[in-house]
Amino acid sequence: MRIRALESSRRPPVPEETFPIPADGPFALLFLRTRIIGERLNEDEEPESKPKPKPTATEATTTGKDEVNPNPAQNEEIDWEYDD
Amino acid sequence: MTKGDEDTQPLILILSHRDDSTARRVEEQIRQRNHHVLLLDTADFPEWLTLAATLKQEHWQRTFTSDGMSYALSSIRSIYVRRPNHYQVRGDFPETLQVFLENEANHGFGGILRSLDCLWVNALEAQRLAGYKPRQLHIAREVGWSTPPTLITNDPLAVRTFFFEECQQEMIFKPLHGGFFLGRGSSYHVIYTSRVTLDHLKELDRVKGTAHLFQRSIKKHFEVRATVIGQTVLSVAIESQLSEASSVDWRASYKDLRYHIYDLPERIKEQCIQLVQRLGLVFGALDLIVTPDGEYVFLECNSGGQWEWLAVETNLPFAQTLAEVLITGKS
Repeated sequence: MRIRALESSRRPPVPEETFPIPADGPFALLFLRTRIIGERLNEDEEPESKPKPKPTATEATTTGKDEVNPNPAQNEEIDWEYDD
Repeated sequence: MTKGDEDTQPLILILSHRDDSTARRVEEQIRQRNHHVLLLDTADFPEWLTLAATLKQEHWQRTFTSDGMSYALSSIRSIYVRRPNHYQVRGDFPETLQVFLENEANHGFGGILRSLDCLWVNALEAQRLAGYKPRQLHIAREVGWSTPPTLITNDPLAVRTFFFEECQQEMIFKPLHGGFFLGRGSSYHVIYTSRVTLDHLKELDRVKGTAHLFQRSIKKHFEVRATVIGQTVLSVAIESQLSEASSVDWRASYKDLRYHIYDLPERIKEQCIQLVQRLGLVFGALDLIVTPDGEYVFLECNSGGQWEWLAVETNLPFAQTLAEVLITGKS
């Protein structure tokens, strides 16, 4: 059974299949990106000229490294409906 | 409390699903202060939640039962709306009937909750209205915020003019609402705030397809997530400019972000609180830019914004502050 957020009739339905990004949809869809929950961006995306930042608490303790702990960053992704 | 007894001590209700670690943090803080708190998911109604509400004279006499415990709804002092799921009617019904039955549950249980004289963090209707970015920006200007020059349109010519004349080719696009679509498994589609380039202008005719929001790109020194909880502002600087991946929209690359506690000027704190209050909210997470010139620019207010990861990073007392507000029942 589909679960939706409280009174959130606006929430788009969860698709049965991953849908292809339409090639000629509205302008907004030019910026649609497909990602995997918890994925890390390719290191190549970081400019070499900038120093690599030190790890933070989120990264060290909760990001994809301890399945027991909830991952706040992922939680934010999943809870996007309320956070925009 | 014992089974079947009504409890008349003040009760704080947290509406969320049971796996919500953020809600659990607040629940724990309330318990540590020796107050009664109940984490409730509205999806439990009607199967696991029982409601009996009788209107006698001018007052509703109401109880609800959860996990064998009975509570007087009149004892609820405050309600924290986190991530509750929609009421769920279980059974093999056609979708039309399913929707009708779930709406009945909403208007029954939800209607009773709305009739309570208590503090809501946040009131559902206010939260919904606060989600409209054009309204946020309008109110932000009214309370004195600096905001990026903004265009909302489905007119390609208006975008072209805005791009060259108002933005000098430094323009971003951001969704008006959402922009996050779950896919199958662990994949999802997302639209982040994105820079619009000359190449994108070749596709401008596609702007006709729906409403689009464009803003002049504001130079960032760093960003601030200012979380308003009642009269308190907890603000964290987000260093988003260390990497290209997080420079336009910091949500696009959490691994590139660094955080530190940041004390906003009093005037800016006041503006944060004023904006949240004008939106009819008690809680609001504001996204701000601090420019290289030290100007504070308002981007948006998230009425249900996340804060747990910032609590992990900074040890700022988000859960404690929420618990205090909920316990006092006053914003």
